[in-house]
Amino acid sequence: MSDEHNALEQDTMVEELVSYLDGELDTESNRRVERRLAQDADYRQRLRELQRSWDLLDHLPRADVDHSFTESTIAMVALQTSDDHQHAQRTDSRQRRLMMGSALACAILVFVATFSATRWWAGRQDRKLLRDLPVIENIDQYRYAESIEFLRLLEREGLFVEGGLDHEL
Amino acid sequence: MLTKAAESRSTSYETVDPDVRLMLEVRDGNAAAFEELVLRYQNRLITVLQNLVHNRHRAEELAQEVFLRVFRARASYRPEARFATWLFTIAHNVASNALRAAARQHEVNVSVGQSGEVSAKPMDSMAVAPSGLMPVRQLEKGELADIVRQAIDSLGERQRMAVMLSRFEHMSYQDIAKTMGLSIQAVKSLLSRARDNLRQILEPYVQEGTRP
Repeated sequence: MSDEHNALEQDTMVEELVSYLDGELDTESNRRVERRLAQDADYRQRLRELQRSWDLLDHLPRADVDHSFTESTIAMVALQTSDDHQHAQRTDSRQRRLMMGSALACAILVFVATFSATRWWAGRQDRKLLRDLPVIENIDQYRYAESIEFLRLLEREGLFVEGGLDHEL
Repeated sequence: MLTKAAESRSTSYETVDPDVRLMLEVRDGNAAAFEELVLRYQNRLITVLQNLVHNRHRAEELAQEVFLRVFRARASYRPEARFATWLFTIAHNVASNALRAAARQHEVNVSVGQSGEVSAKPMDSMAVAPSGLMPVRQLEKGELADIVRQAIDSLGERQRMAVMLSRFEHMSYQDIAKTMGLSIQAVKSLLSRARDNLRQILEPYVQEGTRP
């Protein structure tokens, strides 16, 4: 518990000192840190260490490229964006072709559907006639029949079988 | 459609930041303005990237990738931050992707049993190796640079990026937060931990020439 408390206190102290060094504290916090710096030697020492290690980062390498890097960057960007442009044009053209193809396919589909529907509609009278053909062919015989029962009787006698009467005769 | 507040922010960045004005010229098709931006930022960008990816040549490639992205984004550019903040946001994304790709590559290499040389020397051996005059000798400039580089390399990627932006770009916590997509408090903690880590690694070298 005490170790945890100490660790937390250390973290808070470091965060406060780092913010102080970076100029990120408000006026009141700034004054509080400065008061403590004036009184607390360990606190002062920690500040010095943080500052010293921070200053050592000046030893890290700094880039200093010549003009050829700038030129190659500009050339690369120009080349890439030209490729982008060509790619976009190719994509546009492909999309246009795709859209035209789709429109043509749709038109053909609509034409075929309309043609089929019209044919079906126009042929429905013929189909009805065809379905009723056996009745039409025998309409004279049916006209003399008095009832369905009578017709069934005739069927049972074989009157409607092909060559039924001829066979009997 | 821009809100009034966004419009006002754009105008204010345009007024205070000359690089924002240059970028607006790039947006309007001025190629010379783009070259000027490259000239102004190439060294700063490579410095930060080099310390992130540990490789000068790779850093130059990534810097070019960043400039390419800047140019590609020109048509939709709106000044909603300082130009440097916007540029380093792109750089952060590019570097993060590169580091992730490198980590994946490393995993693949390890999994197939390719054991490469470890490039970084252990800190202990560096501290005592060359002269044998440790622990009280004065560290030479070149050696000190190596030690500092290794101290930076020992930080996590996010700590390293925050340190670079703070130390080399002198960015405020707010700008670092914007660049890295973090809260200001997160940046504060990140930098605090990073600087304390650096202190713990570097202070013994400064004091005694040995690792604590």
